[in-house]
Amino acid sequence: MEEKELIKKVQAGSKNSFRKLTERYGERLMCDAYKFMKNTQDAEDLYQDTFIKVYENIDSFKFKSQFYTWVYRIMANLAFNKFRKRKKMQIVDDQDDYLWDTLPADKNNEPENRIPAGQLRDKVDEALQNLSPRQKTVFVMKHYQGKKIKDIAAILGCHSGTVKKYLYRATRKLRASISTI
Amino acid sequence: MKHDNKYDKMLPLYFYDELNQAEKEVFEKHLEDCEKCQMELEKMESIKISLDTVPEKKPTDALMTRMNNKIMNRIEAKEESWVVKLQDKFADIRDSISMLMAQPKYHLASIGVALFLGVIVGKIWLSSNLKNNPRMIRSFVSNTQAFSEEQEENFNKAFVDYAFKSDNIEVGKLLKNNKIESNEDGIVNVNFELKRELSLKGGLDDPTIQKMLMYSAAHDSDPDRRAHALKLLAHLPANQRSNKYFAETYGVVLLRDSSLTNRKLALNALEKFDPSEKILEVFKTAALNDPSPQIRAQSINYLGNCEDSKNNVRQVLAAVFVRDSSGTVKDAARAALDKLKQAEAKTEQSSGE
Repeated sequence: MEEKELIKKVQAGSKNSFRKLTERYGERLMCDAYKFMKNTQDAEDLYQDTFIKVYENIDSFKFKSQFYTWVYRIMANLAFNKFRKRKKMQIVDDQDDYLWDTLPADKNNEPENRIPAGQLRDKVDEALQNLSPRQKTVFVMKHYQGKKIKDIAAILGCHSGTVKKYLYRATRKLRASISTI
Repeated sequence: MKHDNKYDKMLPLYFYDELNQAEKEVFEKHLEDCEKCQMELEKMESIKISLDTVPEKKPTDALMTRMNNKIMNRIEAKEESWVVKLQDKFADIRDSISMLMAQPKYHLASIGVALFLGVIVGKIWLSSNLKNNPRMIRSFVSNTQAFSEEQEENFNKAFVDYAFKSDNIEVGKLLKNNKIESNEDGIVNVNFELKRELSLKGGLDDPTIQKMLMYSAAHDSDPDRRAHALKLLAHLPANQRSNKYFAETYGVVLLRDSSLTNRKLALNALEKFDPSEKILEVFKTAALNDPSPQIRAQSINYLGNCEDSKNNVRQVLAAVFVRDSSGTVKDAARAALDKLKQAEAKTEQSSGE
């Protein structure tokens, strides 16, 4: 079924069609949720909250943007709120979670030996945890999800200049964190 | 080259390829000579490498199914809580009505409205965020049934008032047979018809029409209308049922309707369903408790044809055989027991071979 038709059915009250939407976009959204939260538990929570919000607000989707962009915007704002509520971003190695497949890391990207890899990772993680919610949201969207600055601005409803400011501050903090190694 | 703040700000943009061509050239030119910027850029590279060594994760299909189920469950649960919210809303309206009624000119006027609650509930339900959920409307109705007389009267007033305010109902003509009468206390009874009851038009295959018919079959106050709804639903082919509550609706009618005709209609319809555990329970209850021997006997025949000998079918049949006062029903119970016995012997024989 066409996406538009499916969404219209959801707007008319069909839960079955909503289920189909979750099946259609679920995996992509879950991967993006993981990129935001960096641990499976929080990613799963964010994923669920996003779709619940999508369902509750589906009437306000007016087909002016791509559906996924609209959904992603909802998720980015929820992620921001989560960052705000919980100051620390938890990057945990939840490799024992059998419901997630771990993708092989890029072997060409092994860190150079100048700084010991583990030590560098710890420092960067710590600095990430200390970013402000806005800085963190912008950084995640830019770094992990490769979004363009103008798109991030549209998603967060602010000017590109503001996004640049947050990105600048985030990267400055991260760089400062490894200066001490 | 002299380093200044401007290049600091350009650095992350350069790193993430967000500079335009001209800016890029300016920055690269600066970069050739600026050790600080070179160093900072190297740090960016190290950070990137460090972050990229954290393996990416992808959810398994099993996780996606589990998550999507959870989402659907949460939506269902949220909608249930809407019923409570809706009632809160009515409580507000009720309060505002009591204030209105306290004003002198309304003091003695009590408006009794012959309202088709089902229709109003349906309209509000359709126009609200509740969407089309028969389960919810049932729970909503069962909640209203728990009201005291006074509460119900207030509730009805609130409902009508809400319906008028929200333009969900058009007030039709006063019912011809009901005069407006005033008793000695000056209490006025006004009965009028709410006209939108026929506004839902559609084929039997229309899910909303189906739901309204199901609702009417189970809850309408008029037995003829319930019968009419049941007859219409009987025309619906199984593959056009838009939801899974049909058997449940028939079960409710079979066990609760005071009209024999309606129970018969429900029984005939229910016989066409595959015998799930729930359906068997309905038939067992009808076989034991229905006031009509005809219904009891027909339910027993159905049970006798069920190959599934679990679920205490046999015990129920035996109980009916021992207890029932009607000879026809006793005969039916005996025949059904024999049938089950034969079926079982046949199964044993074939498994022995």
